[in-house]
Amino acid sequence: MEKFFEMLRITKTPSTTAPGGFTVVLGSNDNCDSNCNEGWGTCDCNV
Amino acid sequence: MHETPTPKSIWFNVNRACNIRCQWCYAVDGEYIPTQQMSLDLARNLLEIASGLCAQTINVIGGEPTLWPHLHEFNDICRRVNIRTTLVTNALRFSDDEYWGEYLKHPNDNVNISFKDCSPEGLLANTRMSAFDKMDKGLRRGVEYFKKGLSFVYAKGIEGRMLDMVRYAVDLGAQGLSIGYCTPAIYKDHADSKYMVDVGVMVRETVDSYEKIHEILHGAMVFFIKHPLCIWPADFLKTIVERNQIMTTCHLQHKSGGLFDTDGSLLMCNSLLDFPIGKYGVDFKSADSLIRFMATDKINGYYERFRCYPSEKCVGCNMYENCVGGCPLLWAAFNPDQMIVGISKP
Repeated sequence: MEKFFEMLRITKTPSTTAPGGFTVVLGSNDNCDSNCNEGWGTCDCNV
Repeated sequence: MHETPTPKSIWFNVNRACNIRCQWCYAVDGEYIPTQQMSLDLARNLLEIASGLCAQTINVIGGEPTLWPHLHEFNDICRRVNIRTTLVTNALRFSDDEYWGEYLKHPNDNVNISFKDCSPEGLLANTRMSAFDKMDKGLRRGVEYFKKGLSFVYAKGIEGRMLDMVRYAVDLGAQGLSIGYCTPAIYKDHADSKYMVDVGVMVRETVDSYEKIHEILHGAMVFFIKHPLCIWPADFLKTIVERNQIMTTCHLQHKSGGLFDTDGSLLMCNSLLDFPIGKYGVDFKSADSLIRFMATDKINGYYERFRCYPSEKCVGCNMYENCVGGCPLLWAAFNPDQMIVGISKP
């Protein structure tokens, strides 16, 4: 991973904000955990 | 003190083999080696770990997992232990009558089908696959059987044709549509962004097409936004937030993913195939030992590194919680200070 981090042009300032994020589910979304997605909406309740 | 990474969302990268060659494939560095695949024994062992982590679903991904010879048996095993499976596929193999007949005896509980193009010419150009009719047949079968939506990646080869892709998804019978945006392909020593659409063009086509897409799909769509929110027009963002049509952030940023590669390597992201952070049998052998391993300073430090602000312009931004500066992989290919506008301050 260190080699990858060498490519990464981000600051070294740690964020103090816990990530949130928008959750989108088409249909019933009460039990959706949006964190499981990788761009394909792989959770059961998603598209 | 930051929270410990806890794998809740589990992926099994079961193989490298694939039956198409998408230009923008995030797994291109895996070189599609047909023999590189997860053994059934390893899959069973990792399944035990997933079960110990109380995972409810395993996302089966590749390569193209319908080419994995153990898929059907694995699905049966998962069903016996009450773990659901989601297949991430291009659906091409579903077009094969013999395969489809056998698959239906051992189906996954859920599927996520991504289609690659909406025309024979585009499919050939973008994936080197000439059998558009075959692909079309597989997509229709998958959509009809699972009663699901579809997804596609907006990449260079799709530029200017977003609406055509949407119309094709509807024609295929999709119940909804997820539109994702291409991110850099990560190699051992460099990142490649050549198949990503220019940011200005991407924003313009999305925004210009938006109301028509909304109309065609009756609102049943989601944009998986991977770029920083500040590059998008505020009124567009407001609308898709209000209409619940936006997804942002990922398991990497939430420290909630468990991604196992073909040889049992633990990955932080499917795009980081060359950068495993641990391995089954070496660093962990059970759910408990995996949790302990992920709590080590070294692994936690990796996750914390991804939590650093991409740019100082992000500090204090009131959108940061839901943006997190976009997909971190972007910043292996782009300079965040050049892309990030950072206008959203309280």
